[in-house]
Amino acid sequence: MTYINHLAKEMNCKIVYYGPGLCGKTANLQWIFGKTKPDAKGKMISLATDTDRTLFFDFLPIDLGMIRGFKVRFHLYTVPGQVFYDASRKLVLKGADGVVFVADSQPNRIEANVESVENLETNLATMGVDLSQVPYVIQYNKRDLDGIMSIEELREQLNPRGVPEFEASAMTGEGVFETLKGLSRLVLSNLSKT
Amino acid sequence: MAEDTAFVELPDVPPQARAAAIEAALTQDADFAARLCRGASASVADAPSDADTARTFQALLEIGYLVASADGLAEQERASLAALLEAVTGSAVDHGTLTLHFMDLDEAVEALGRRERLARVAADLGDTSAVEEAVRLGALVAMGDGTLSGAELAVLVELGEHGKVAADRICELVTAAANSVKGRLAL
Repeated sequence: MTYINHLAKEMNCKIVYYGPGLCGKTANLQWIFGKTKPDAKGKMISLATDTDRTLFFDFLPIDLGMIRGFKVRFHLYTVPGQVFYDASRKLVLKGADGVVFVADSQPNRIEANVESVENLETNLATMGVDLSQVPYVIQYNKRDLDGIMSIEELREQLNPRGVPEFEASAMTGEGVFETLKGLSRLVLSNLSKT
Repeated sequence: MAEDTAFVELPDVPPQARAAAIEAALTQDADFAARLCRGASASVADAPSDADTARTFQALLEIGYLVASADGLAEQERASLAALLEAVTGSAVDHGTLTLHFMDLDEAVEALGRRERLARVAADLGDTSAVEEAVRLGALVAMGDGTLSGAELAVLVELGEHGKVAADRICELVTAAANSVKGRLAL
């Protein structure tokens, strides 16, 4: 749900980084925050909710320009990955304009990845939203580690719809901005249609 | 304190008298009033020359909205809030723009989260004195309907937590703001 702030002349888009615990969602946000110019971003905030913490920050991507005279501000949110925090994940997902699913490429995490994708679909469905209608990309993270699954194996289990996918190592920053740009394109394309 | 219990109840006076007393209390600090006007002007300028002032004004505006809407914001309250803010900004932002802005903020809260928005705008305020100023503004704006509820006080306390201002100090500031209005109503 993009909201327009007429006073600030901004369109505001909420982007949610989703995925299992310890897959690298926070590392993605920290990398983007660290590489964004100070005058283009707000503070990164870690907010204690009733049950856990949510991390988020907002920024104005300077190379995106304007849409119908409005700047586009992105608000990036992470969700807690642990299974226990489902209520928080639902709250954070509410109103999302786009979702990045961060998958952990390690073989022993494939089950957690699959469960998390299913959880994403279920939580969106409870809000009356079909994942196929939401700008959505998958990031295969931790590609720098040894003994990881092949992209083909991961794709088969996590990306049956063939949405845009990106290889990344959030710890080194590789693929982090490519993922965000990939999702941004989809979100902006959606915005242009409305 | 229960969130549905009023922390402040102003004397039962005609709404216009209450609005005038709140406006006078809000603008008693001439420097703050001037900054509100400058921030409002910068916010509606086609090419703001002072983006920081505009951002701070918008943060204050959002805090006022978040506090006043903590226990719901009826149409009449919206209109009163818009009228008050129009008056204290020297009409730099008109009633219609403010009404539209509140609708934008409704959507912001829906999409981005009420507590998340409070944390975000609190981060824009800066030092403790700016947070205390925002608490005072939020309290006065919330008193537009004659009371400051427990739910509204809870938002101010949470704002204080973000700005490292203790809950006791928040209560002091709210009480002082209320006394300032009551004093004007007694004249």
